[in-house]
Amino acid sequence: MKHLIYIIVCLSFMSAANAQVDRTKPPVPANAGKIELGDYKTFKLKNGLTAIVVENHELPMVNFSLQLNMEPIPEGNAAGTASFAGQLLRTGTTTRTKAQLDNEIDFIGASINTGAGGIVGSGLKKHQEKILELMTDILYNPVFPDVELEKLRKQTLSALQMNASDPNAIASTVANVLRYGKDHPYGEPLTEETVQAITPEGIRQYYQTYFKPGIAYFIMVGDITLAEGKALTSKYFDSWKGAPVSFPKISAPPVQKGTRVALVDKPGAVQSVITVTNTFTLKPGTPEVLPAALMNNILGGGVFSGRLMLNLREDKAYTYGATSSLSSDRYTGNFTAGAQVGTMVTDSAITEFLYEIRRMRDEPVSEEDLRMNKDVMAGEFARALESPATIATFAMNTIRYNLPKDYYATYLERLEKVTREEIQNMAKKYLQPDNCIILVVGNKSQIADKLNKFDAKGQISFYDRYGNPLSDIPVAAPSDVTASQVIEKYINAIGGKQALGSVKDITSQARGKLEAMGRQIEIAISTYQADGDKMCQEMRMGDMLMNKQVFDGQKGWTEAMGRTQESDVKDIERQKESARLFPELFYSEPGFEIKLTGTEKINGADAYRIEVKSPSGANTSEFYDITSGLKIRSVTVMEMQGQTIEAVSDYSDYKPVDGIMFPFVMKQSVAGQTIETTVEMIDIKTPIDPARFKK
Amino acid sequence: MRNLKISFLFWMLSLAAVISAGAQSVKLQFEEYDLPNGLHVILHEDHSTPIVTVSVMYHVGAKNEDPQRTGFAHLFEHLMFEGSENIPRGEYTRFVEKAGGTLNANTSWDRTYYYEVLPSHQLALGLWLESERMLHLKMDSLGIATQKGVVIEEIKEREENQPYGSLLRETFSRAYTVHPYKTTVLGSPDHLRAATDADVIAFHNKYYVPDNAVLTLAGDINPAEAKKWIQTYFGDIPKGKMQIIRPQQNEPIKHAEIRDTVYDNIQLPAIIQAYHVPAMGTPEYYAVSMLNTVISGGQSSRFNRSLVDEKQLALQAMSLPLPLEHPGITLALLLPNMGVELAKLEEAADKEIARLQEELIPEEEFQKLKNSIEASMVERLSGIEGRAELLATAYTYYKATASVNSEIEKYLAVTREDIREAARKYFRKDNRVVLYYLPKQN
Repeated sequence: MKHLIYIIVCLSFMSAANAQVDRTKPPVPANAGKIELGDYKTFKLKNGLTAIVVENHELPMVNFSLQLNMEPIPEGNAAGTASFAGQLLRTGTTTRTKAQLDNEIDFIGASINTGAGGIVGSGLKKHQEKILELMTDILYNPVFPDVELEKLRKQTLSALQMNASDPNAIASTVANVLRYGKDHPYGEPLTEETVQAITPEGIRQYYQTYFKPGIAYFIMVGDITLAEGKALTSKYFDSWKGAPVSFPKISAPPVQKGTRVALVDKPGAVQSVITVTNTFTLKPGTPEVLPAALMNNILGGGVFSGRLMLNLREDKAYTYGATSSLSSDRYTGNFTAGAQVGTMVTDSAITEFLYEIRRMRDEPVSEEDLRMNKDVMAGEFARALESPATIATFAMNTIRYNLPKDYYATYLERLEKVTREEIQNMAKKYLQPDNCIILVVGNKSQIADKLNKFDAKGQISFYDRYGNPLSDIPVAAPSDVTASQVIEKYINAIGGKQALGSVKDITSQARGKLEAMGRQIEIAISTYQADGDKMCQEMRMGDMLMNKQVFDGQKGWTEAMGRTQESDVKDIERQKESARLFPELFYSEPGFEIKLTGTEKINGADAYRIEVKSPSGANTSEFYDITSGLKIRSVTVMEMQGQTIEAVSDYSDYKPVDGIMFPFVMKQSVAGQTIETTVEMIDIKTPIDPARFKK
Repeated sequence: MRNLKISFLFWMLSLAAVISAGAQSVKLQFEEYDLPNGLHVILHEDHSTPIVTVSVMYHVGAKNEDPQRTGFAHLFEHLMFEGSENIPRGEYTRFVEKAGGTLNANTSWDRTYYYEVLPSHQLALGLWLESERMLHLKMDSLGIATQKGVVIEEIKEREENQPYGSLLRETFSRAYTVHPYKTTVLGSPDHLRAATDADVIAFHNKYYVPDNAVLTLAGDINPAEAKKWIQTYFGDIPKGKMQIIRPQQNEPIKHAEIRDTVYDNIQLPAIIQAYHVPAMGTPEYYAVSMLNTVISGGQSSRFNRSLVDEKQLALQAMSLPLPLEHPGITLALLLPNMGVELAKLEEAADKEIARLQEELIPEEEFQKLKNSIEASMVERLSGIEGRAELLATAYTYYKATASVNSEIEKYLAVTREDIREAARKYFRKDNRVVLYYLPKQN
């Protein structure tokens, strides 16, 4: 009887579970099934090419990837050559122009891309021979057309120019220089100079040296069998001539002893980009890679769940996101944590970064944290397997790093076995809060002093945006000079108060070049300024008037493309100030605040830095050459559409016009755009037609 | 939830690209059935990877909205992440991430789509999450007010701060005079501000009901087990009680070109040409779609070769059909090279269209077209999440899930003459809206 009751209870329980599920709780997950990794086969050609086949017949598609097993190579003063060679491969062969390649690839609905590390093509299976024919034409017969090289050079230079105002790009470049040193291939920065130094010969040499079968893998993924793969590989690659490839020896990167704090100044920035990083040896496929990755995931992985995110974002609201990464590498791996934080909390944020890093080393993680992060990583692994290319990558890594054949097949099993103790050991080994680099890209004048305490030597060091050390550390304001003296010297240098005061009209014509979307555009600018804060500025492109801005002393408007827009009331004060013929004459008047904050090197010249606050509330940093007294730079911070944008203007080539000095070259950068203008004519005698300042 | 979802414009464009180029030789296997409450269920089994997509497509979009209360379907894309009676605020996303999954949502004029991709042993979690928000979504004043604020900010950010962000609003408001496509998916900030909590709750009660939804499971599922879980979580969700409003296809045929100028926060001017075209799924739609591929599909297409490479008048030139359930539009977007007059670029573009109206496309180009359609019809099947959406879409619009597998024949039935006829019939000047986008000065 008892037995029967037991069964009834069980049954009712079961049916209850089905009909009346407990909605208040998430369902208990089923047992995770065993994940089967796709298999792969490999073979070798006589010329040394290693081939890999990953069969996946779900769709009638194939993906062919020719990958070079490159080691890092130093490029020195022509950094960027390898990347250029890779990009230019697809722009023409001895028998096909770029247009012909485009057409033939489109004709079969395929895609082919090239890079420094190889060539990838994909499309329908039935076009596999055509894809290989095109890929191998590119591989064997590239011509690297000069016009395409110049096009790419121009685009790259534009991109570098854009990076100049991007603190994240600066941080990434400088962090590499600091971690590895400028002579290490990982540390070489791409600069205007190195891009200019890239030659067709260098590109050809890269191609001829490294596009060799002995260091290449040919990976076939998709609707293809081993037999087919063998036949195709032999047909298209047997003729590829082998030659020994040797790689230059790489010097070991510097070892960081004690924590070093580095700063790249971004005048006017309202946020700081913080990078905390250290290097180590952790080779791919070694047993500690997985537990170290799990450790990093707990610290700074995940979208919401990492400790850095919980602390710096959810708790302190210093940042929108704080994360970390830990990477293995054949030579030197690294740990990097970072965030973009408000300027005023830069030092507090660094304190929290170091606190969380130390906590990983000092305390074992909770069972709950460990469990959750294992689940997150297992899910990521499973989702990545959907793409057959993942299996191909696994196959290549297995061969390249000489991993056990079941290295990836046992991934989840190994992940599951990681213990709390192991996590702590990994933290102790790979996180080095006392021997790390802390890089900050931000507003030096606001943060520099507060960062010294993090540096082992108590003194932070300064770098430019390519990681060159700046030895001339800004000097505090000299006590024997005042801001008004600097302004006075400037006024005297350009002609004196009296001469400036007698000027009633200034007409100038300038020409300039503007880079936009990789193209150079010629513009002509006419400026008319008259006493009484009147100003009219016209910008033309060819014969077309693109834009006209007028301020008539009381109000302002803009005309563009046949439309007129009145200036906002709140902008009028500011426009009035900037319409003045020589605004510096007014700096001594009430409402202006000027402050000498120090000296700095600007384009190689020593300069006083003066902070100017105008009655309208505009803040400008102005730099006056110590020797000549001339203004050589001004930096204005503007609010545009909720973003803080900084405009930098450099003035040079001062020349006298009727006794008054004017800069004839002006270089202005704003939001990644640089406009360099050269003055062709300045006239301070001819009165300006008042109609210019009317609608 | 802004970071969670794809911009619907992006969604439209990417879908347009996929569908315009489609044709397939691989058939998707699936089974489908209805629950007694009207929920349509589609199951697509594929064990190649231990993951599963759980998705719900609601047949509600901007065109179902009260013209005085636009933006609701998109507002729900946000509200649906707020939680439910059993899911605390902010936890919806965390449940998915902790399980090793990912999720997203998007909205159009015609439907709203929500999905999770999870490890397959977490299938029940996905079903619980989706059923919770269908059954008893959290819609309290705080959540509604917060998401209204977020959405209004989003409209500003997308339409005002993004270059050409107002493109759909400006185009659709001129192209349609009667049909609800004349509003945008993002809707009107004023309408959203004016909406009461009761308006919002009523909209959910009307449209977010099982009989107006398709539940699709794709991936590593055991169908028998999956059906049990579906019954458990969705079986007792009550049917909708309100009459669902389906607008009429009532936009009159156009006989006069509409031209206008729009000033926007952009660096580079642009031309938009919007032609009225037939609804998705009609034979003529396939011809129009192929015509678009001839015009701008790939590096060697007509616009790219002529306007971009040879004449160097355009930085970019593309022509995309927007896949809409009712007769829609196809958009040509022309960005001039710096200093090129818009009129000159437009003239060159019109000339390319005129050629397509006069001459049949050459046999070889026709073959290229068919080849690229064939390839992309296969490529669109390469992820299970994408397959789930294809199946759900076919059911939602045509009530014929299997049409996914017959689409290739519809494309292949199109002849060179049909393409020329599509150019003549629909790419008429008096059947279009032309907008010049010019930089606004601050």
